[in-house]
Amino acid sequence: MELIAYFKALIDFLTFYNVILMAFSMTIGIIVGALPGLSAVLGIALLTGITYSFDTTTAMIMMTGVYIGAIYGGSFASILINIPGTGSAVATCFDGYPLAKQGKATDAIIAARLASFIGSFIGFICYVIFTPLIIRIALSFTSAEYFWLAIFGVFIIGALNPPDLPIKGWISGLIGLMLSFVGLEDIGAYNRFSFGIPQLTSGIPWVPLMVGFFGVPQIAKFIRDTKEFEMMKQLKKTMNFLRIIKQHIFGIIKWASLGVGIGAIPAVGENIAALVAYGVAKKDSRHPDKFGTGVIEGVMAPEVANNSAVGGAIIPMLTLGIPGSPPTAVLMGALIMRGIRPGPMLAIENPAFIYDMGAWIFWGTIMLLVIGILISRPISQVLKIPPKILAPLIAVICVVGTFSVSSEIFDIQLLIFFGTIGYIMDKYGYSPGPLVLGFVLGPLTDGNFRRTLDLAHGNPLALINRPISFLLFLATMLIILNSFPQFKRVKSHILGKLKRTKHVLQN
Amino acid sequence: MDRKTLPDEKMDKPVINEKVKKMRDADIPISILMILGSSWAVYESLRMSHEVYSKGQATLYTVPGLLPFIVSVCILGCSIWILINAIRAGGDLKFLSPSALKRTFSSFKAFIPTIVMGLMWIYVFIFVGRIHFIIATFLFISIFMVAFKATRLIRILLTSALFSLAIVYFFSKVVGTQFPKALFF
Repeated sequence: MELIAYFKALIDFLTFYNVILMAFSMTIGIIVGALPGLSAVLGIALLTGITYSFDTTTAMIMMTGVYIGAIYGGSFASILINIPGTGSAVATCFDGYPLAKQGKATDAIIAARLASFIGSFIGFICYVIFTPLIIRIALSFTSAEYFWLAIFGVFIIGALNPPDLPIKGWISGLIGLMLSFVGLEDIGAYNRFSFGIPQLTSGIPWVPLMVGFFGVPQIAKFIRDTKEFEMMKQLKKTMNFLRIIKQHIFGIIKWASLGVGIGAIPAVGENIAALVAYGVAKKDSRHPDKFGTGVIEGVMAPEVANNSAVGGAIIPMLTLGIPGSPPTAVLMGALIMRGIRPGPMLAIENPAFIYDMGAWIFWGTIMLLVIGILISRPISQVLKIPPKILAPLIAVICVVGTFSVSSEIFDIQLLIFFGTIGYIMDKYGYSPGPLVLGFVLGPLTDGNFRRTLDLAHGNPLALINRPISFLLFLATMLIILNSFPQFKRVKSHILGKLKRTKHVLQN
Repeated sequence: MDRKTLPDEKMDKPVINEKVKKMRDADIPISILMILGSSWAVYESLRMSHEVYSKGQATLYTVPGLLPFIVSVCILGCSIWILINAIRAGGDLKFLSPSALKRTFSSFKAFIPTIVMGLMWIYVFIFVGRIHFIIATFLFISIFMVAFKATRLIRILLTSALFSLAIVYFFSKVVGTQFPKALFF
């Protein structure tokens, strides 16, 4: 039944308008991803404002296209100029650039394209298989589970992806939660933390916050980190890719599974997936010493993983309302702005949306291959545009895009304010990812927390007395404790003792 | 955790690398700001909860400030931890001394983010709403490119003019945006 619905959505997509729209947004996405300093998050955040007046289908096709395109586009800069276009393409530099230096830039680009295509396709398959399963589980969730799921999401991102200390990630997430509390609250309509500013009564608007924290700091960094680089030329293809894919088929499945799994962990996303897959590919290789000198698996592993993570990251976003990566956090914000609340109820309230999303991922994957081939050579011209020219133009798009949502000057003032705070926070190790995630998850926490306590007449045990809520609570505590070296020491001490006891018992 | 001790027996103080040292230095003022901010949030959460509770509009566990109180206490605790960690790791406020600041801002690169942010503040808080949006955008792009010597002046003026017109046309015709009216011209 569900497969028929997916098939119908795939067929329904095929209109001239949709195909052109997907092709256009894919091209934009690839360009955004290819330009060092610009990311998928920025691309989606900008589109949130630009597409606000468009219908939901048009807007979502564009955002999905930009998302998939940007993750793939990052590989171009990694291979041709040794500067990752996006965070998810860092690992692609390790072997992509050495290959380009050997005169095999075209091979590396084809490998990245095929790997991205296969990764996205496996991500789509996993989306089709796992979405209904997770929805079935999530439908049994109560307020307590949602509360812990949101808290778990905030803490895991801080612990897994810290630019400096994990505690800074947690602070970012907690500040995001605090920002989500601004305005009238759900239960008693009390106006919280709005400083008497009438525009804040309905809460902090999404777009200025997202574009402010993700877009504005990137503009400053884009100019600051401009480097002189040598661009490698794309010569003729020298490798037989059918043979390479056949040779590495099990590896590809392994890297893609890792990508989907890591992508599905709340807010971890493509960047980590690519690095982990690269590490695994190196470990599994017969010649790990050659990694970093220009081996094709070193390009394929991160590209398969980061693209499969896209499908993986969308699964928890749609089924649980917990974004799997920073771009999906922005995507989720855009959906909420349009009155679509991701979560298990989506399958009941708007089931067609889940199938449509599957269709957008699928056709986005196909389009990635087609547009990837067409844009492969012209992209090197785009990379030559100086950031000093691009940066002010992007800044204007940020401002106008934000303004277009509400036509309020207050919103763009808020954008610049958040942008400045975001830059300072980012510079000193407080990354914006957890903050935006905290902001997105905030509404899930407050209402569910108080509702659980209210139903249990104030008994705090109600928060952890169900199996899933207890597991989530335990997982959150373990994440927190695991970040302290003292806990790690105690853990290894206990494990050591257990090992010794086992050894004694065996003898 | 982030401390690297040199294997030199004569050294009695741990030595940390320069990047980490800079981070720990900056942690001190930032954590102090966060301690102040979160203390205010703790006070505000208690005040709003007391206000609603004393009027009998909510029970202790449904007061609007309950979760904000818990979250702000967590931020307060984490900020104190960061402050202590920064001091123990050798962080100090010497980087805020006039001579250190002079050294920091002697290079143009250190100024870049300040210039970018400053120009964006001027664009949004001074230009937009006071002068026509196309002129405001044209001025912003031109000044930005001139400040960073992006290309030749004629190209800068041409790019700025064309882009300003194009973006306003696109947003007003395709997206339907009503741009703010100018106060002066």
